[in-house]
Amino acid sequence: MCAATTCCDVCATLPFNVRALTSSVGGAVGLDDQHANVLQDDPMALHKSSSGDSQDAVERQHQSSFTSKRLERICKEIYEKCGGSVREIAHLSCREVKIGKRVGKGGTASVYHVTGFALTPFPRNELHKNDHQVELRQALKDSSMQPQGRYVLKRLSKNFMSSHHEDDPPKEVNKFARAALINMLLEAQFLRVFDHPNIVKLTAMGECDSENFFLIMTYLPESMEERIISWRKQVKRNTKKLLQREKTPVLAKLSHQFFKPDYYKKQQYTAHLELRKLMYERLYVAQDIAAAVGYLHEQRILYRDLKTSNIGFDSEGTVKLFDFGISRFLPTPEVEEGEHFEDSFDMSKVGTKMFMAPGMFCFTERDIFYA
Amino acid sequence: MFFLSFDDELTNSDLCCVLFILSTEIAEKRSYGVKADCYSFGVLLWQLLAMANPRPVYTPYLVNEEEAAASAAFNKILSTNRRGPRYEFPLCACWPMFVQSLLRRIFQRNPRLRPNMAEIERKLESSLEKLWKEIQQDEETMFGKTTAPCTPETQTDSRTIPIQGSLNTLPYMFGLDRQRTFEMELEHEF
Repeated sequence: MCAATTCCDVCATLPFNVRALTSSVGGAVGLDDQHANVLQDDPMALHKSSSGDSQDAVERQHQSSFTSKRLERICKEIYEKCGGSVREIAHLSCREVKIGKRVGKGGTASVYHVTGFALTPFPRNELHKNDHQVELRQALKDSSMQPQGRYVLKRLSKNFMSSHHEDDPPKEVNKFARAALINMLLEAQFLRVFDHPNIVKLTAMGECDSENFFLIMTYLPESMEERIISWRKQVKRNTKKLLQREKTPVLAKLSHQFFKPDYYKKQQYTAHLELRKLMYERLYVAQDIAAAVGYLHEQRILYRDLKTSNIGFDSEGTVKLFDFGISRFLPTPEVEEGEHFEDSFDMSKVGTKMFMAPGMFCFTERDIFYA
Repeated sequence: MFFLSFDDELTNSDLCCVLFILSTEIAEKRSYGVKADCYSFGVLLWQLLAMANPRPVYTPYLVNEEEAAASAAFNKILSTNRRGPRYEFPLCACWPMFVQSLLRRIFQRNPRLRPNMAEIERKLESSLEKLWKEIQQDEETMFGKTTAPCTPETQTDSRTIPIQGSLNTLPYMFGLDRQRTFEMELEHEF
């Protein structure tokens, strides 16, 4: 059951109208007008009447109520746990952002460069007239002028979202679109709460249209894979230097021995030192990532998608985690506070609920492919 | 089915390989907790150190017959002993010892035995400090103080290197032979 107050609070933390967003996607999420009795209302009533198959409709209804429950619970949890520390961020409308090239594409979302912001002088949206919002928006625009302030825009792919408009709606896609939307909403909420140097910062968000919205985050120019490749090149070069002596021609060797007796030795030592420094650098990066993931675990959040392509380096060279699309809260432990918190942390019971939500987890194309 | 560490194909890189490493409890559809994240961090750490991609090991849901046959054969080779580790990440002897022991602990089958994320961080932090001090000391002994401003008094004859050892034995001193064998092993395996 959705208590009226929490639902309002949840909505208040989001700077845009969730209801409009979610109701357009099949009305699945079910935060409705009165912010109450969400689950008792039948969000799929329209669909039910149109589709003759009653069993199917019941199934779908079950799924939708399940996801709405989940979303509600998680949003509530986020709000309760970090309610005080949710940052307010700038809210933009779709036309105010100039989009450049596409940087990357995932299963559901795609990421674009932001070339600039064109703030409207007379905003129609009431939210934009708020004093604090005006400041935030102006600050964002100013920072985008500077060379280090580069941003990317992340939004759900258009064809992915719009496919359920067609006259024969494929059920799966509709379900996935809904799940993707929910995931992105959760990601936005998570990112607004997090405050860690190794986690990417969300700077702004807004609606594209009635059923899609975007997040604006700092741009990470170098990905982890590129960095690993460059490291590997450096390591190979240095190992080559270390073993150089075997390959140098005899004459050069002799002349070097005559004029600079320690030339090769010195080079080898520098190469060795270089190698050790590279090792240190790599481990340092690993430590930063460990710190970020540890921070998430402290907040009882599972990242669940730790891999090289979800890690990037910003313009200053610090490691950043991004893409919190499938990170989730752990269920609250049932033990009292006096007992060992650490031990209950990794109880095997913990994750069982996560297996029970089929709709929530099958949302990328890959997943569809493999599931 | 969901995934923990999964990578698509990279277009313009050497690391062009599909990565499909799941922590053991997820691959076996057991319930999991934070230790699954620890496992994938271990995979990441391994990738950072080896600078290579682990090859696909385990496919819980198979798409076509070829893949099924391939993975069946592969799993047969790897996990004849069901109690043992499903897939062992090869560790190079030239890596620092603390990292090796850490990785061995992380890749354990039982998630409860794996170290906590905070513990991993602490371990890395403390031993990285030591490592950095060692590197700085070595730099000083090899080349004199490079960081200090170069004045006629402090300038020493940097051509002579205090550390003894003939050129032929140097690679062995640095553990390079081990690294070479590790690389050969990797190429053989992947």
